Amino acid sequence: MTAALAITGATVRRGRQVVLEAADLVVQPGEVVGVVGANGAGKTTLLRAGLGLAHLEQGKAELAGRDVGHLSEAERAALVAYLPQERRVGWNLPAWRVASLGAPNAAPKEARARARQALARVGLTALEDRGVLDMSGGEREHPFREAHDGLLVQPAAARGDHRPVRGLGDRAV
Amino acid sequence: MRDLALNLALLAILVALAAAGIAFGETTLTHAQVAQAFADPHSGPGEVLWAIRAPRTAAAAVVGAALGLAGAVMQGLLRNPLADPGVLGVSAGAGLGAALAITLGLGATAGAVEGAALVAALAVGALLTLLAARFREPETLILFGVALSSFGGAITSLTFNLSPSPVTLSEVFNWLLGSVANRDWSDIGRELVPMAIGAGLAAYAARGLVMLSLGEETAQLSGLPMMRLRAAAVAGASLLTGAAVAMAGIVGFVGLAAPHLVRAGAGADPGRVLLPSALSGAALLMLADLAARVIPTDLELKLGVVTALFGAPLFALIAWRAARSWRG
Amino acid sequence: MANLVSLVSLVSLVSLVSLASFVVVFLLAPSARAASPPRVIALDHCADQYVLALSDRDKIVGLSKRADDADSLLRDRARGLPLIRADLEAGIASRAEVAVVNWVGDPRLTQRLRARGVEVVKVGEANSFADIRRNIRQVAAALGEAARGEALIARMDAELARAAGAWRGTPAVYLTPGGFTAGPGTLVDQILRAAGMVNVERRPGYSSASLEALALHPPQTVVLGFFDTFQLAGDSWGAGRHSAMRQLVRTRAVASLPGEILGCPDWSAADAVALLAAKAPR
Repeated sequence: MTAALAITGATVRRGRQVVLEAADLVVQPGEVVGVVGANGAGKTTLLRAGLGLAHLEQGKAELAGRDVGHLSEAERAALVAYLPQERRVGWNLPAWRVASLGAPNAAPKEARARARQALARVGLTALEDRGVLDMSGGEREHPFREAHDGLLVQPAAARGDHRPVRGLGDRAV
Repeated sequence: MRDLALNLALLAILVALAAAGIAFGETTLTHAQVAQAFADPHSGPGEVLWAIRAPRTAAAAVVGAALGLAGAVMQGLLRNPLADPGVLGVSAGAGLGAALAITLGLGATAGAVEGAALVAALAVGALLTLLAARFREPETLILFGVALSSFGGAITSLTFNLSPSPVTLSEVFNWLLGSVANRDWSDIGRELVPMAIGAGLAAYAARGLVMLSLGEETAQLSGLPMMRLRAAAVAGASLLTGAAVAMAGIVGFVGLAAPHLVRAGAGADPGRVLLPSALSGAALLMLADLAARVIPTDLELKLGVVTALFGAPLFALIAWRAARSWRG
Repeated sequence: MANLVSLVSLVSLVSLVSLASFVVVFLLAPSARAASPPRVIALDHCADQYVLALSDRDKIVGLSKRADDADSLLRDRARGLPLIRADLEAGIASRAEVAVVNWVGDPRLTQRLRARGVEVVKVGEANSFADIRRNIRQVAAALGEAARGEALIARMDAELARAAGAWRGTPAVYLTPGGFTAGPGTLVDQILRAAGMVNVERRPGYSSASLEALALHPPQTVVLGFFDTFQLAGDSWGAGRHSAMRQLVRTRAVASLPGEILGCPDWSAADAVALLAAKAPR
């Protein structure tokens, strides 16, 4: 079975500092993997290297068997979603809006409806119009989680009839 | 629904300001003259209302809209409420183009100065688009913008230095202060196409701006063609700013203030804020031009001076509020 | 005894030679300015005209860089003469005794020149022909060419006399490419009046023509100024760009005064009057 994520011999340099050296990681489909390490060990760099967000000086990273550097933006997005550690948001958007970002290619009405449903599932209907910057940390987590889940899930939903990723990439753009 | 209400309200304000712009001016017309102006647009009073005041007011509206829209796009792209069309160096580049054209004696050729400003703005915009593709962080783009602005300013200072007479000097200087006086319909027509293209690009980039709210990396992995959307945002803002500078010289603070005024009404959404920013920008500049005409000074106040006088304190207020929200 | 004689002879010879040298040097020394015209430099475009008109070529040790420009009235005379930058070094290096200046910006330059013994003559702004006569006399005196000055004034007055009343009171307005006009208290106003015109513009000084006023009450007669040297006097963002103004210029202009006779407060103003008078209907 093709690994969902395969990093082989990855070396990443920042300036003159080598932050990752000859790192390997294989994640099979369906696996839940936790990467632990001391502060500054390179956990985030490893992950970003696998997603094609960091430049590899040596080695390679593959998603579903394909070199991550050769994937188009749409193809890569169909295979992976990334929620960074810090919950940074540029603007004080209402919670439903943040949640609806999980469905960027859906019609606005549909995206809004799905977002409101998701927030209702976690009991946040009363806060759906409140700005995320005006919420507590715990409350804020939910719209972000919904956005993240949506970005991962929605290309699969669009795939519908299981067309190969290549075809989806041509159409999504 | 809320969007529609906001935009309609702004449109109503625009119409009122347009009426004021045509009603007020240097000379006071009698009732009989006003009637004549409506009856015969080619009569003396008719020319005053329709060939002198109307194009001037329209120019203020169009330039204000372009700057407001460009400001909203820039703020969305850079995720910073303090960004404005000038911050990326496009205004400075356009100003340099115009200064060079004037100093090289092209002031007499119709459309030469405007054309030079637009071409320079596009050159800067193209450079920025390439940079934006290569470097994703907004800070990098801002730093390049500062460098480009400084360069533009340096060459403009050079043209001052080498200026052969005090008259050329004052002409370049006047242009740098911004004005919509003496514009007629052909001036507006000349810049409509670049502005329309810029507005189209801005509309196309809107969903990219919203996705950027979640951060660069999440946006990159969202499936949206971020590189293309980012390029469209920069190109659109450059076209809008370049055309605005070509028509009216350098006018500051509108691009900064217009989005700020409507952001609360548009739910802070960088996509929904685009159209209201254009409308509020138009209103702001029409108001500033009215002030420039009405404030009784010996020489008419330049538009850029009015916007700076009112805009600088406003900028301080926005910065204050932004700082407080960052702390919170 | 022989030594004493030698000594006395030596001392006498030395004294005699010294005295003779002293006399020779005194006679050959540069005479006071009253005796012969001084070496002179001009520091700007308008000063150039005065110097070129009043001084001999061999006394002109420096003109401004614009002396040979298209709008310099006496540019033909400037050919072959040294053009210098208006700064202290050039001024001192030229060994000038008099510097003529009209509008060079830095007051420190003129101060420093004076401190080094150069006489600085300022050509004042002229709002009337009386001011111009005063300017000519002042500069001519400093250059030791009073007679030439008077000749210049006489020629100017003759031109004015010939042109007087040519337009028989026709109302007119003056316009530049930038849309500027001139009212009472300006030299241009005097030029219009000297040719027999009545200046429609009542606001004093130079001001931006009111587009609206011109649209409401378009004047019958328009006199153009600086339309040949747009770069130096145009304001491409001024009122002149508006189609209403351009229309007026196209249909009502009766004379176009070139920049070379309008740019400076000198006798060329009389040439402007003559040009204007020549266009008057017979």
